[in-house]
Amino acid sequence: MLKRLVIKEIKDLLRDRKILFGMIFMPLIIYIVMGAVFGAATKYSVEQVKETLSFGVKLAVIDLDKGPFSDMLLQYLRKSNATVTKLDTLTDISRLIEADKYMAVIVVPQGFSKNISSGVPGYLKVYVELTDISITSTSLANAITGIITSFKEYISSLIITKATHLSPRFVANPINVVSHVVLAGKYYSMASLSAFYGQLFMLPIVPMIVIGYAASIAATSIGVEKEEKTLEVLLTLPISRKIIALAKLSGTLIIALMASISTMVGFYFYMRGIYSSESFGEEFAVESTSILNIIGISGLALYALSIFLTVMLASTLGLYLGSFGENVRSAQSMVGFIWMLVFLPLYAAMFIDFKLSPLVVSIGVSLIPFTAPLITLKSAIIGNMLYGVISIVSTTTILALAVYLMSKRFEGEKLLIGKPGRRKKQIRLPRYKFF
Amino acid sequence: MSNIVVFVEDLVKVYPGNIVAVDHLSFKVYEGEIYGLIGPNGAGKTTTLRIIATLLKPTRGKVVVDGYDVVKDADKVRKLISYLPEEAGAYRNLTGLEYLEFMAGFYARNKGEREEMVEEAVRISGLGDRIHDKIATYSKGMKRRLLLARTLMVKPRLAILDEPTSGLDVVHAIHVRNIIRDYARKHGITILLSSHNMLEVEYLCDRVGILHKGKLYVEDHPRELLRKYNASNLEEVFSKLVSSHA
Repeated sequence: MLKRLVIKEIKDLLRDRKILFGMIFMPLIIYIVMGAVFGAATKYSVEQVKETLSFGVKLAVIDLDKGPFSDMLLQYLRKSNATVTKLDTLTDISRLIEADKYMAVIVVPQGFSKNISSGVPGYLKVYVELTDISITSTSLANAITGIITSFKEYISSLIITKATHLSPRFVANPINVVSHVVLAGKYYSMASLSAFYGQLFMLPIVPMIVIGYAASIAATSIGVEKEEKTLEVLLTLPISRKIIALAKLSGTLIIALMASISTMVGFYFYMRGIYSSESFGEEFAVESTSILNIIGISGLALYALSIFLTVMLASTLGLYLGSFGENVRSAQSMVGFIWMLVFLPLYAAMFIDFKLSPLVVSIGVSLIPFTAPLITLKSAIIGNMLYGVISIVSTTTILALAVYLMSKRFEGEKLLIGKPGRRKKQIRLPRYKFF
Repeated sequence: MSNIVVFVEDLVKVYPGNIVAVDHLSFKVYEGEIYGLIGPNGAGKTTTLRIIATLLKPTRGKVVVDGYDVVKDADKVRKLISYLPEEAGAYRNLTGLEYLEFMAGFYARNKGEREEMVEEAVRISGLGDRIHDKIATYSKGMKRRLLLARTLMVKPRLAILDEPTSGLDVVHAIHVRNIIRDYARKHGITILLSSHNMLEVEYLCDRVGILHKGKLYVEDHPRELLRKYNASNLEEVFSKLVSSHA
């Protein structure tokens, strides 16, 4: 009986174009297209910057110093493939950029060379044109200031060599520091910190997406029954009302899982699309330190259990709240706030530090429904399962309460007669008129 | 006297807001009988049928189907009945055949019985090749025929039909009435139906109960009622009853 109902649920929901496209195909397509578009746009920008730099940037140097170091700057810029125009007097900079189409103007003040020679920093004023508020424009501005920065390093190495006969590279980095972080008695490189941080933000996204879909699909499932007037017949079939509710939950979970896989595949392609472009290539080096590796099999099992329980809770609440609606739209609106219930505690839980926070606060956060995936994860990472277990027990208790409320709702007559206060008054018919 | 299939005694249903939908209603339906509850909109017909179908709970009174109480033994009652609501729909994304197979699965004991039920339903519905199309593409008449076929195919102990020809044009209404009458006679199924269409009731029912404001004014064979009240049709009977109770 259950299998029959679940198959019907899946068939009916999947054949609904709104669900099929809105929840399964659209996230996949949108993320892939977004990734491709952003990736292509970034790649285009990078190529444009490279092309501009290869033809040589047009620079104006107002040399008020006329000393050896300003000469050195001019030579350095010319070697960097820049087209450099030397001006001897201070001119209107904005006119140079606007009218004469210089991409940057560098002002070398009087005393620049004297300062450096005497061991006092010299000053340069650099004005770079921002042609537009765009990735291309800002990247180009960065590339131009980058040339000046490399000149600064060049001068620095000259001074070091002359003064000390030591390697400039050594002077810049006389000590190599190898730092480690210690987490739950295990050592990780400092680079892992940024990886942990990134994963801490990314990991809740998975349960959040699944929870959101589950609540929405469950509400749709009951909303459709009411809208299409199929609920009355369903409730008179020779099957237990609990089986009907369970079938709806099972169908919801399967569709939510499909929708989530589709979203995550789309999200993967989106991230790949963005970060595969050359400008980000090195920065997006994937860290080998995965939180999922750290927590081990038992932690992973607890994490999976917490996701399952929260998704079940969201589905049950979706089904329960959706049953108050009269159609799909009103059922959906009933569950709209579940997103907020999920989103806020889940992200709030990210900032809790179990070791530094008072015990009452830590336990309080662990008791909040929908924080379970993050709490179990953090609990497994620090190697203290207390909070994870509290969170699981709390979620299970709330789930049991939600299931009880839902089964009561399915067994009672209010599922059909709706809100009592909104019933129309009995119609008073004119006497003797039958129709 | 035949066995009693439906036994309703002193039934009262009060909705929230103190709205009395059914007011001390009592009647019996015998085995193999087609019994019609008639009355205007708001008379309490649908509420009564919904209580018998285990969808609503009575505020007071006793309702028994084939020996089982509709509140205490709701699960057993559901095995005996097949219910067609007035505004019933079907799963629009399934084909007509898939819908029938899905429904038959809850009643059939084996695959052979299920196939037999579906075959019978396809015949009753008269949908022909359209049975393989999605229900979303069906007209209102086709959908109603499909739903009626679904209700009857399981050969229930009691078929509860709420306004079986609701929203149908004359041609489809006649077709549906013929199906109900022929099927009930052929298989000896007890049918309890509601209608506000007097012609339909006169044509179909062995006995009728006239309801008004939740009360049963009178019940008898349609011809007997016409004779008793010296009326040419049931509408006239109803008018006379209402004026005598005013």
